[in-house]
Amino acid sequence: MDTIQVNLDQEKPEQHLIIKDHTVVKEMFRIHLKNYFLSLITLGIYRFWAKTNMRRYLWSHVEFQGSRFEYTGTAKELFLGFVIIFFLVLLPITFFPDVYLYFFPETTMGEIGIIGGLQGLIIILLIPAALFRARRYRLTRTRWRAIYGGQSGSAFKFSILTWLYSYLLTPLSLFLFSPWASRNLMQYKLDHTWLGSLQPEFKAPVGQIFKKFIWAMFLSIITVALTAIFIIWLTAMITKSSGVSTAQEMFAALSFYWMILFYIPFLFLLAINNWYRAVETMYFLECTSISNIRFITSKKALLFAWVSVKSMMIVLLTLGLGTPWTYKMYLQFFEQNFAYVGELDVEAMAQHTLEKPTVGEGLADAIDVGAI
Amino acid sequence: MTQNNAFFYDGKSAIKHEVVLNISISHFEIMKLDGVSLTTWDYQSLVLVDQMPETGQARLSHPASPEALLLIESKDTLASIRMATPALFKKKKRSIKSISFWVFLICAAVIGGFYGLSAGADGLAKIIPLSWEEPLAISTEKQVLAVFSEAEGDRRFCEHSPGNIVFKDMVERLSLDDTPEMLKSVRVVRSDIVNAFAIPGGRVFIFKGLIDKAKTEAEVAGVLAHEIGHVQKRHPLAGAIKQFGLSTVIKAISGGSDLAGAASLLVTFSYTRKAENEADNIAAHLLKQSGYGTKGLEQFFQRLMKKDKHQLPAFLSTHPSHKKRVKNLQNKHQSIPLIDSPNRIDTLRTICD
Repeated sequence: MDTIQVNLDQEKPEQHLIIKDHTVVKEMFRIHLKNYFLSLITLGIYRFWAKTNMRRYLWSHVEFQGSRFEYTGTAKELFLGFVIIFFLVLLPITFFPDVYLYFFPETTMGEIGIIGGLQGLIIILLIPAALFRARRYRLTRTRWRAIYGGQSGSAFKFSILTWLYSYLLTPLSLFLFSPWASRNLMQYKLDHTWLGSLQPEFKAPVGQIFKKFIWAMFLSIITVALTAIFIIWLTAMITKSSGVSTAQEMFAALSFYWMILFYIPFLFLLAINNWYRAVETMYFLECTSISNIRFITSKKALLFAWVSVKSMMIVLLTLGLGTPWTYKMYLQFFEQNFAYVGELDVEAMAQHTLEKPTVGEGLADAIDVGAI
Repeated sequence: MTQNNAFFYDGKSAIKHEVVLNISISHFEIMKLDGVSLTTWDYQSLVLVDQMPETGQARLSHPASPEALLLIESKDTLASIRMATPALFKKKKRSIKSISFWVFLICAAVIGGFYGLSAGADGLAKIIPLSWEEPLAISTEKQVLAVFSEAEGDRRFCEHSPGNIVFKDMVERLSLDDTPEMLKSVRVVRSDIVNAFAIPGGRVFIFKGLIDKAKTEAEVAGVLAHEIGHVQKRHPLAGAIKQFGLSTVIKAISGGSDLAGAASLLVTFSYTRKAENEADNIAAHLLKQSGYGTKGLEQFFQRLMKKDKHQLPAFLSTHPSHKKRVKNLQNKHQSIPLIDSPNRIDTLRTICD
């Protein structure tokens, strides 16, 4: 009996939940409600405190290997980070055209267009750096069993990689490079991630999900094509039946079908995109290992996509008030669908010696690309 | 008293050390199960990281070993510590002082932002050279005429009849001061609307409807002087900056874009209390200097106020209150109109014939 048990274990090692969710929607809602209204009446100034309150709660109610996480960041750090970036980066970029015009009043309309374009471009180029820096802040403010997370690497290098992979090669390849772009960027992020002194290992050959990416692209193209055909057909039908001739009348007639013309294809595209993102996230997780543990997932990408679409709808329809439910939905999904095998070598997990940023997330917050 | 069911993370590795706590009145000692002492934490500096009421767990830290964390899983152990240092577990109430500080800070930020924009716009309007306003003035003038004038081409303005001679004379009298620099043109628009306003670029428009409503020449002069006051103080440009934002106005100034809908907005938006007072003060000065006196402006205010309290033209902005404005005018520059012959106002009324 014992021998058989051992053999079975070797074939299918014991799986453990990656996270255990202890959050209570009612408690999160209480925090969220306070955050929501204080942010509103302070014209957004409270959001640094709001973010910190919610993170403290979330981190301390999620458990890994029997120990809960801890968020050690403070609102003051977030606020200072924002103030610094606001004055050093955002304000100069915003007022750049005005200052330019002040010194060169003869500027032509075309030149103004170029300046405006440059302004937008700088913001877009800053996004990857902002995200990378924000990730560093969050990791260095996360503790598990008194061990801090960390992130090495440079935000500038990460930006260059993002510009190259996502902004240049992806459009040039008619989006076919997209899976490689996300893999390479994830590689850079994980190669520079530290959980104490441990670093994750990430090996993800793109070939295995490329077929699914092609499917997602194919379904998206079909959706757009069917929408176009439907509009042409509808236009013809309206012209035939009601004798509508001018463009204005046609637009008025079509607006009745706006729901079908716009929202349904939009939801379809959103669902396809979310499905692929789910496939990718789960695949990347399965390609990651740390210490002696390896991650596995239920591969229920459709369910994951459904959770993300539902979350978006909840946030939209409740004007953001329902956000705590979406946290719960995601956490429950992670709890039920993500697992790991093996044992973490806690003895080898020591404190890292990386430098910690003293203020946080300023750039990401200033251009509003931060997560929770 | 020793208590167990506590775990210690030393911050050096992720190992979970099961420990016992030797609790005393002022501190507790954290010891390994074999009795080896790890550290001692006093209550005074103890920090409650968080607690989970549902499980009775609490996490504590202490500056003595800043990276370490103590997890207490037993309700009894927690109760012992709570007894020794009840203040630690009480929800920290924010002091009135701290709440007031934040309320003050937020109010200051909101009010500061509002007034900052206001003051910034006024200051900017004063330093931008008048000539820069020209493209903005041209496009706004076009829109004003498109919206308000009932005639076409040259006939949109009334400037060919004998009435025009009187009108020109009035403008000249009112321009005796240093206005010519700022004032580019004062024109009568062929429209029955009772209104007058200034737009950026030193242009003042007075509508035929207003001249018809006026009983005396001094009344028309009063309104004109008030609008000239706005021009002198560069209020139309400051108003446009506040209304449309700095970058839009700069684009319009540089010919980059029109201020879409500028006409309707420029004539309906109200100036600030300060701006109206400034314009009134200049008007009083000009009226006194030109010999018209302030009586005309006062009378016109009063008559229009009585007639139609709800639909006052833009030049009769709702703040400061009319009564106050009339009083101000009376106090500051009380004088009797010198030029007021019935013939002149009759001639003026023919300006659009």
